[in-house]
Amino acid sequence: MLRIEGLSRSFGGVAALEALDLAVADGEVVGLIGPNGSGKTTLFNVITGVHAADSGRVLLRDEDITKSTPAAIVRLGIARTFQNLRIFQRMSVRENVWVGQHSLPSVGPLGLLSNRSAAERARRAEVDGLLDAVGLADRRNVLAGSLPLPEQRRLELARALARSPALLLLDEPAGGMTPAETAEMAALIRDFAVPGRTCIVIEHKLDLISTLCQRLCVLNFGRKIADGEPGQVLEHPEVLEAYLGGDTLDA
Amino acid sequence: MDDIYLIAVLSNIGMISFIALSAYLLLVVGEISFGQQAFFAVSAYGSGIATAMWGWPIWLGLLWGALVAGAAALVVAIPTVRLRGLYFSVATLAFAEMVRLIFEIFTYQVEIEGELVGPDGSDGFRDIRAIYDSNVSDFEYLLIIYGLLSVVLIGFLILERSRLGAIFRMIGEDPLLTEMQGLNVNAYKILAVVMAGVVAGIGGALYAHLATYVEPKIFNVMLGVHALAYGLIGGLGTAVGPLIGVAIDIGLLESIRAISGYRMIVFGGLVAVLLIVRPRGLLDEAAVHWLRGRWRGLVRAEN
Repeated sequence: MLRIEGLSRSFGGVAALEALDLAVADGEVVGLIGPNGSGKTTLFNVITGVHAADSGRVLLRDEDITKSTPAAIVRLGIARTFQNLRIFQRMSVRENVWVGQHSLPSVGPLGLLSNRSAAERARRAEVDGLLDAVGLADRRNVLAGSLPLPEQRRLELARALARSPALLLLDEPAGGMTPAETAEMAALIRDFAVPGRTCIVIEHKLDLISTLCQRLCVLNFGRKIADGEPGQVLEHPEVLEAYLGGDTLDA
Repeated sequence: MDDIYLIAVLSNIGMISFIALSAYLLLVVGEISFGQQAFFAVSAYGSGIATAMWGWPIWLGLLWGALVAGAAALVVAIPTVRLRGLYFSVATLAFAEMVRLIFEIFTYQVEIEGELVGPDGSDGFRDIRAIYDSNVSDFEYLLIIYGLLSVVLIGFLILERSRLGAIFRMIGEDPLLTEMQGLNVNAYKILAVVMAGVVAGIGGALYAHLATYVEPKIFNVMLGVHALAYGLIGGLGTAVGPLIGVAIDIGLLESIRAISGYRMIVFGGLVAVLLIVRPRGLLDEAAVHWLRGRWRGLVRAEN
């Protein structure tokens, strides 16, 4: 599905990613962990075209997307959420999911204007289905900016799924949540978001990672220091060093 | 208040509403343009040339003016689309001043029935008489203005509820997140600038034919600043907002003679106060959302 080859990116002389190689197979769910500043979000930003790569390549289903624009990359079937939560605050909850469909080929130029066609009604029903699935059905007419944080995270997830992406990138989907909310989110992702697609999850919370991922990849200072089965990776001396040197895993 | 005065005030409100809607559309996509008066001017001249000099019928002159304004907007949009915030504002201001200065020296006249007709630099463009020549009364012209305004307003209201309208709002709120929905932000911004140019152009063409005379200094930056202020007063949540702004300014402040001398003081104060207490105007997104919710509730209660 996704292949990253020798990817490097630095900001003002600080290497955020250094010669990173990573291959993710179809249907795989990979957890991406690492201390703060290890390059996890930068990796998402380079994959989605927000930041250009200094060198290396990103291939999606063997197509080179390294130099594509974010919009073009998204249209190829990648969707993401954001660590610092990005939603359209001045729009309703329902509109926030609906906007995810705008660039679908099935919408087309006419669909951008018509509100009453049968196809549009079907798409709106899909939006309501997604809201139902993430537990926001009764909040759909509320302004999105007024939702509490856990609900905003679920809204972001619903929006990311609105295009039925083949590859889903989740950046700390349980960031700022209580353990109970985290468990709920983990179950939602496992049962609803993951089936039928490939997924990379950045997360610090081990319980979420262990619920979701069969494979764990650890970054430190922009380099991959471990990659494999969660149990083995977490025993890896370099991983213990990277974490216990600063943060603990549940921080 | 006599009828002629009332018709003049209402015509003025109608024509200025177009440039207010034009500036509003760009405010929705998150850009402040100080240059919408340029498209108003381009169309005023363009439509005047078409009817007074080329002898085109009035409706074709209006259409031509709007198209020329749209083309001018496209010329502005392509190089400025990557600019954000203050840089976009300054670029639009510079373009508008450039247009105004070009009209200061632009001379293109032909002899019609022994008289020279056409733009004559800073002396302006006289005798754009198409509506008088075809015996359209001021009242009939008022109906034409409001007919066109209704069409444009309905277009805006349909746009508001459509995906395209949502895309414009998304760009205004978070361009990167918009791009992340697979949408080419720059292309949609160019579309918004062109649409705004056409809308301002309709107003400019209507203005030239009612006034019968245009000169470059009418289209100075204060016209553009007012156009912006209307949206900021009336609200950015719906296209009705800028129209409320126009009605407050021209309908109340300028037209009630007792207070007209203090117009700029009251108007400036109003803008300043609103920017502090309601930065997105009276009918902002939250207000419009609330009103729509009430409306849905009423409709449901009816059924």
